[in-house]
Amino acid sequence: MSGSSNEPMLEIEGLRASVQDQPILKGIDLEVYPGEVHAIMGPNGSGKSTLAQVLCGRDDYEVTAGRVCFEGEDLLALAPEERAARGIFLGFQYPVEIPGVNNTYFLKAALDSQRKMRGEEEMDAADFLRRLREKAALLEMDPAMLQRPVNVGFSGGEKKRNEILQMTMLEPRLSVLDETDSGLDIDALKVVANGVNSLRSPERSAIVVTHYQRLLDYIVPDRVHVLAQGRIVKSGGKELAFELEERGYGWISTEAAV
Amino acid sequence: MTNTDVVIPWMESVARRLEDRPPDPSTTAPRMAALERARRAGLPTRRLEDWRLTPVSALRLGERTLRERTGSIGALGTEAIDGLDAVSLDLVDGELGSVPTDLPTGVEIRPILGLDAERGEAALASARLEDATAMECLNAAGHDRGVWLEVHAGADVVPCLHLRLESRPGTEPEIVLPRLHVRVGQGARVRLLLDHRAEGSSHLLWNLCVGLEVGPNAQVEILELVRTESTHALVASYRARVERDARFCLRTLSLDAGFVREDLRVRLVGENAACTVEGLTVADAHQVVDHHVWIHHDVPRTRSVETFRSVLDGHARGVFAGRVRVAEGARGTDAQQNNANLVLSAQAQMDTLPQLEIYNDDIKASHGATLGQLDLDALFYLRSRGIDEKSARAMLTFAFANELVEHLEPEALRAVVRRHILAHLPQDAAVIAVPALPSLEEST
Repeated sequence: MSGSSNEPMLEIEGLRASVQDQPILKGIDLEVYPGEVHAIMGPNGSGKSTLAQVLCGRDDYEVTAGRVCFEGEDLLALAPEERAARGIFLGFQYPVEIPGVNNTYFLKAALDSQRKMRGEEEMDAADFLRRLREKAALLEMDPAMLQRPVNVGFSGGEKKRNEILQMTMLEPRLSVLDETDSGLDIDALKVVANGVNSLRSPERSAIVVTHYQRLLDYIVPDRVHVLAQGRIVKSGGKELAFELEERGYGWISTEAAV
Repeated sequence: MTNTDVVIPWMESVARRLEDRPPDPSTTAPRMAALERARRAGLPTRRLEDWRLTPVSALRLGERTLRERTGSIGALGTEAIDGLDAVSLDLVDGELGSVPTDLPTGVEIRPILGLDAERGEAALASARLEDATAMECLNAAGHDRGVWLEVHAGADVVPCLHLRLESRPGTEPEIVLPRLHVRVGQGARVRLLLDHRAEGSSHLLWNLCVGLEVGPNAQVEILELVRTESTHALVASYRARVERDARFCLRTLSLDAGFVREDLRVRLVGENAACTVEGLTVADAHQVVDHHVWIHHDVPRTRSVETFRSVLDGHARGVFAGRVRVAEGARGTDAQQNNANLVLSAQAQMDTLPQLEIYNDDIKASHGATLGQLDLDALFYLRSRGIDEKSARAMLTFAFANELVEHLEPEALRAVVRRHILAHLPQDAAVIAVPALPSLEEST
């Protein structure tokens, strides 16, 4: 469903990016309106993860051309933490383990820091803890995980739940979920999708990067884009995902090459 | 070349005192012998293998004079540790003040001077060892202050014993030679906090010797906290013998120390003895913190876990030299050693030297050392969540050190140690890095 606003929340124009002089993104154009969920699909190595990382400010990638506008602001000029404070969240494909940093303290620090940058008051500690427990319950997470160091000793599925927990606590305007479904069994997938869907609203958008159609049964996208060799080669509605599931990616490359 | 040609004034003072002292059959001879050995060895220099990584000239060993005894003096009144349940004992400049009247049952405390023959000999045992160092021998020859602490067999000492090792201010480079001997009987349990503090500029060097007898099946924990100031120096030599089924734990935390050099020697001499040796160093400016650790597995089925971490900034220097020795026939030994270091500035320097010396098969041993800067993936992860770069760096640095703080007992120490770690971080960043969640523990 398209949101009510006529202005896109995110506008990507002619985006090109390289790693060590190797072009990965070769001209991406994409508009995401408030309330929309876009799925980015494509074979391995097509540039899906690079796009997600570039949007969130990872400096391993060099942007060589194009522009990215987020709510009217030049996103590429902002530091990763400033992007986060504007409301962009990256769900990592491989969440990082941070020994010695307590999960709860980490989330409180992140939330406080974002609110400070936005000129808002800190959230009261008791309110924060109450909300955290609610969200963890929604994601069927063991409360003990909240007291463990961030992602340390978590299984693959627990790490992904922890990503979504952070997302639901930080309430981003635009979530970029990079292969959040990888390594999840079907039950975990439903729980995670549930968490993502709990944030859906006319003001919030999401870009869901995935290799498989499976996740999109639970997070139903408004638009589906196929990325191949650094370009969006096909866009469509949610039915495109089913077509990809049935026919694979081969036919798209052939079609795009014509 | 030998160093005997060089006249070191304080060594001569030690010799004169020995001559002037009324002869005491149990200690005069060993003291003389120790002095002789010290003279032969000479003061440490970087030409010695065990001192080659240590900027020993900063100790100004040749220029010092002995700090005189003042007789019984009270505590200096340095700040207490909030919430610490402990029986305190003050050793100002290493001199024992009054012995508290509320000593826990089973604990006995005597001045190190004037011990009976058996104890006197035990207290000086380390100076007779083949590998006794010059600093140990000098202490043995000249020690004029310190404590004999005994925990009787079967005693379960609660709460912990807090030894406040304070230093009076001074303007000249001086040295003291305190000696501490701890004998823990069979099956006894005790925790000792050795808390080094200095009031103002002390310009004092403690050449401290600590002897530890850990009896069969005893549980002994030594927590050493060094919170002195930049003109203070500590050279500490620990010797621990751990008997069968005993658990020995030595944790040393150098948080604000001008110069620290520690030689920690632990011998596991009885079957099923185990030790944990941990060190945390947080240093900046021109601070030097050097740990040399020797763990000897002498008999079958003993275990050791050794973990040292440093966070160095500014022009700080750090050294970790850890040697684990597994004797012939010491089957079923389990030895783990790990040293991780965070070097935050280009001027700071860390030397790490992990060594395993193994004389049989059928053992488990591991060692590892890392030296580096903060993990860039972790840094990006924190920033992607809205934590600015400076705070993210502070958070990761704090976390690295905090991993050795989380399990500290008694718990009251954790806040003290964390406060020191935080003081080394940029202050505005520390606020973000360690948010106040007072209700966290009880509400989750």
